[in-house]
Amino acid sequence: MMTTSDALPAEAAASLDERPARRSVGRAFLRPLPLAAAVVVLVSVLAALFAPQLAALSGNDPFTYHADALGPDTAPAGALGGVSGDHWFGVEPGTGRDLFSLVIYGARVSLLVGLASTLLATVIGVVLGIVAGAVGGVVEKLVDFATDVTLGFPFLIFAIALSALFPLEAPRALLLTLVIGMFGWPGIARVVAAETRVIVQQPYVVASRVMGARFGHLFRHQVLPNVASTVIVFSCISLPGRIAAEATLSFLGVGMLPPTPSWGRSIGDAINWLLVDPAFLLFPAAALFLVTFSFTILGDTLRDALDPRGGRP
Amino acid sequence: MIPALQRVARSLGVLLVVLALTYAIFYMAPIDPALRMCGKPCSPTDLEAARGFMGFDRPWWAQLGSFLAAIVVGRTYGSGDVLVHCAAPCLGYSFQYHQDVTTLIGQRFPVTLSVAIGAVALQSVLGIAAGALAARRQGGIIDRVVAGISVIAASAPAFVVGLLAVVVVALRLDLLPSGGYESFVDGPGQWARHLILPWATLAFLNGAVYARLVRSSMIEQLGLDYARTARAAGLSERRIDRYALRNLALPLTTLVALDIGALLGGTVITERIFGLPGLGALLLDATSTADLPVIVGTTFLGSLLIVLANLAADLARPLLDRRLAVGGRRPATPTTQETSS
Repeated sequence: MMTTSDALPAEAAASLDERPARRSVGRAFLRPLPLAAAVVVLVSVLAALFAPQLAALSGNDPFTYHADALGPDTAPAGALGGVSGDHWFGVEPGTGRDLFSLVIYGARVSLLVGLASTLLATVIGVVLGIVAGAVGGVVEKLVDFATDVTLGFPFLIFAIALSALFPLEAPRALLLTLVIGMFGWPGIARVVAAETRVIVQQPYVVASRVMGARFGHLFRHQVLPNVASTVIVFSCISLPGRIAAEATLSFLGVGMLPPTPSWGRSIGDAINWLLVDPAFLLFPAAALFLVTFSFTILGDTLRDALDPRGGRP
Repeated sequence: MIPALQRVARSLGVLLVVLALTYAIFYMAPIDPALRMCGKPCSPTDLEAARGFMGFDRPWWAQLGSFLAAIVVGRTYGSGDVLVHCAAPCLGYSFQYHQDVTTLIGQRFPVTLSVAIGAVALQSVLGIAAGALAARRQGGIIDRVVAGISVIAASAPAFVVGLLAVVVVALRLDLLPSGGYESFVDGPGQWARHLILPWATLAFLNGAVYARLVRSSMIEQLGLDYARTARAAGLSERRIDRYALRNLALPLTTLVALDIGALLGGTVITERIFGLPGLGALLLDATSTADLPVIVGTTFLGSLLIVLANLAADLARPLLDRRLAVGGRRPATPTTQETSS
């Protein structure tokens, strides 16, 4: 009996062999853990997009002070940080702001800064990596040195120090994105440069160079598609780290400033209330952990599906 | 010998560029440390005098030059009869603490060092043991538990883990103090008791990286020809494990070096959670008061640690793998991921 692949010419059969591999990328996400992670990510994205509507649904916003929800010691009145029908996650101690709204709105800053800084780091890393790998020579040495210098900066310490320079009215989310993104590119640049070095020696690239292809053509049509899967995996894996970086800076009091809701800052505020109101720590910390954990799972799944050898980027 | 010298020169170059960039950024920034020193009311003449006293009236590259020179020969601030001397190695002078930065850092350093040493020791021992056990019984219960823990540890932000530890262990169960620092000289027992939670937090988070690396490298090593031959020759599994582990010396050294370099950053978070008066606390205080000399000094120290740790790891490489010493190549050098937090 003849199977479909027997009836096809050799090249077509080869491309047919590749197709199930593509499908398995989708199938890799159909196991329970990646699926749950995808749901969490989806929920957080929706929460970020529709924060005002969701908060309004619970009848609150993240800026109004509810003095009536606080006890005499300005800790929330009632169990679990004042969880009630009015305040689903309780209220913030000291101010009485609705914690559910704060957590929902907090997703905005986390995801925005995380995604934007990852995008920035990826663009810088890919461009520098391809240029270094394709041009070689002095340019490669320069990029290499720039990588060393960037890695030589103590990131967290420098980011904290930089915050001393920012005026209070400066747009914090933008500054955080820039700082986190500007220090995030060396890893991806190194990987991309190494892959580019191999790609530009392939016969088809050499041939098109001989025929007069410009660097732009090389960049867009020959190198970029070949490093794309590595780049995607690498940026997915580094995303949770960048979300955590924003949260860490906000936690230390040098990231997002009040009154902008931020998970990291809420957790930092919770330090002073650990004895009286541990629930205030619970909700923002759970949100932050769930989101970073889910992104990690998704990144790992994607890497395993695209790179069966299981190599680390 | 020559490659080693080149490597040292490169490290120095990196350090200089980092320092120059830090200096340029902070001293061209729109905050004026002289304003705070000048007092109120501050007349323009007083302000100029304050700037001159602190050495802020010169261009940034001239200031950088005297900063570098001060590290070697010390420096004297001020003019005329009011002089402040800062002995070598001088990392600047904080006009808010009225102390030189080297002394300030020296006071705080024991705290940070205590946190760092214990954490590195604990995380490498636990991580290597967990990874080796997991590799030995691949797919078994230990393997799956280690894999699960390392995914959680890899994604959980440090301060979430630390705060949870404080709430559960210190506040609910009341087993350990929730924070504070006791000097080692005053009593090693109390010193250790106060540091167990910070150590455990850092070890939990960073140990997972060790476990992952050791597990995958061990599995790779145990599948190689020499392991098979050793097994066929009747060597005990313990013995084979020892051979395999010895081959992990190189990637593990790189990892430890990266960790030591990044430690100053990591301890900032732990110090904030556990209320430890270390370098991180000094930096955060300096940030809120815009104490530029302290900020630049701490950044310089952090960068110095990173560069030195990487340099040490690179120079140790040929000692750990003789193939590299004679110019050969290692079959597959495991890469270590950069950590951003």
